[in-house]
Amino acid sequence: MLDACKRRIFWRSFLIQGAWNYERMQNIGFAYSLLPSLKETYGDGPELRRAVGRHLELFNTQPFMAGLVLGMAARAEELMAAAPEQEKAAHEEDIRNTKSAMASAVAAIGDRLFWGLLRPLSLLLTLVLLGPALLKNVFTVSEYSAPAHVSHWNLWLLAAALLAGFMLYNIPAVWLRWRGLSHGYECQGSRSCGIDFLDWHSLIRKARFTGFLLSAALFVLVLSFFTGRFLFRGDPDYGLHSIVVVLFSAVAAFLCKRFGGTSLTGYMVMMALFTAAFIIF
Amino acid sequence: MEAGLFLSLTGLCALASFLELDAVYAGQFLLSRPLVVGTLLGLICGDVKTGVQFGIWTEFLLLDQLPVGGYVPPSGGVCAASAFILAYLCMLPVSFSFLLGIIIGKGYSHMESRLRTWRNAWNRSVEKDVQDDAGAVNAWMFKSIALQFGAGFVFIWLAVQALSLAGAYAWPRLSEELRNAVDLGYFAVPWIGMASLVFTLYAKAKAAAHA
Repeated sequence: MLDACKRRIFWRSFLIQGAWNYERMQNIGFAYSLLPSLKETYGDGPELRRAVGRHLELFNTQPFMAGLVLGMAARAEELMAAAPEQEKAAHEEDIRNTKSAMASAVAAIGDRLFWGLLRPLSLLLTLVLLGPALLKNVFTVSEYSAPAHVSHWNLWLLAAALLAGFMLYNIPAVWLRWRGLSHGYECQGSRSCGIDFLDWHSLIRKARFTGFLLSAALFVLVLSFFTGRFLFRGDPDYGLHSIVVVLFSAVAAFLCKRFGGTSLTGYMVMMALFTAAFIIF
Repeated sequence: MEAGLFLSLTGLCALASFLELDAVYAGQFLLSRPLVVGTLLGLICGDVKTGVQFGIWTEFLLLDQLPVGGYVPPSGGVCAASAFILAYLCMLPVSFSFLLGIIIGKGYSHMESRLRTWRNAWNRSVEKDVQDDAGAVNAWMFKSIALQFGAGFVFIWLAVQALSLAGAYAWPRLSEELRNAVDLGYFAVPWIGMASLVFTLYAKAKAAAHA
């Protein structure tokens, strides 16, 4: 695979979910991303049209991990094009099976790493970096009736914090898309390709500990700000009712998580409880 | 509706729909994350606090809903953008705008599910077109993205219009208890979100320690 072709597949892979459908999921996106490599392998003849048709079958994986499967499929198509005619059917079957096996295996890793960990981690990093500015400007919800026009927000701090969170998520994601393409290509069709690419277990383990520490730090930071303002400065905006709401919210969140609910469920339950409390008392 | 307000509403809805493409269809750079969408709209309109607040609140509330497999979670970006537009342009109370934003975000995910189902039928057409010209797959891809943008824009625009009218009518007529509950519910959002994030990440860290 030529470098120019690799670059084209890389850019196209950002649209791998561009035609997502329930029947065959990312199939159109996969064929679209692989098209430069298939053109390089088969030229413009009927073989190219057959190859594109082959890749319109069901396909689904985590988008950042798709590079591994795309690289593997590009190499497998090259091997198939060079194979004798009588072996082509076996190659075709092999491509189908390997694609499916790899897609599931790497999707499980990608979902846990990117959706489950790096997404909340990048948010937490942004919020922790915002720190005092965040507490002063955003968590002060003393007036609900109209949007407040804040002029003293530190925009540079906000931009830097957003950029840090953006980079924490996107540098590994883009790197994996690019490097995964080469690694998948070099795997020569191995079904364990991607599993042995990095020490995923250790990476996920470290990200989990970091995530917990950052979330706990943020919670303590915000809570100490609220309780401190009320207890030591007697600030009425941070009164006892705020602390009661905070405690109730934490209990509601814990119960929701314990019984398989989401934060959205917790929000709805809290509003129902508040309504009941206002009516009763 | 005044021309300026109409143009602002249309522009902000178009921007929200454009950024939302990043969530699934193009890129996945997290440009569609509520915090980014809220901040951007806040900067454009000169109300950074409300934008950032809606962004963070939405993040906290929807962070545990993952787009895994075929599941379409409520759209956080659309929720933050709609809430901002309702509060900023339609002058609804912040807490109520947020609640309506959640409803629009949830509605958007239903619309997206319908579009995904609708695209099932495309598979036969793509296969047929590819038999004549392999490059037809490019045209289908761009058609899909354009459709997603257009449908998203129309949905957000109509939903914001409808809920701003309904909200402006309903809010003054709600009982005081209900209005207070909506206000307190809004105040509780970051705490529910932060606490559930701590519990989730604690459970994950515990599992990692035992692994």
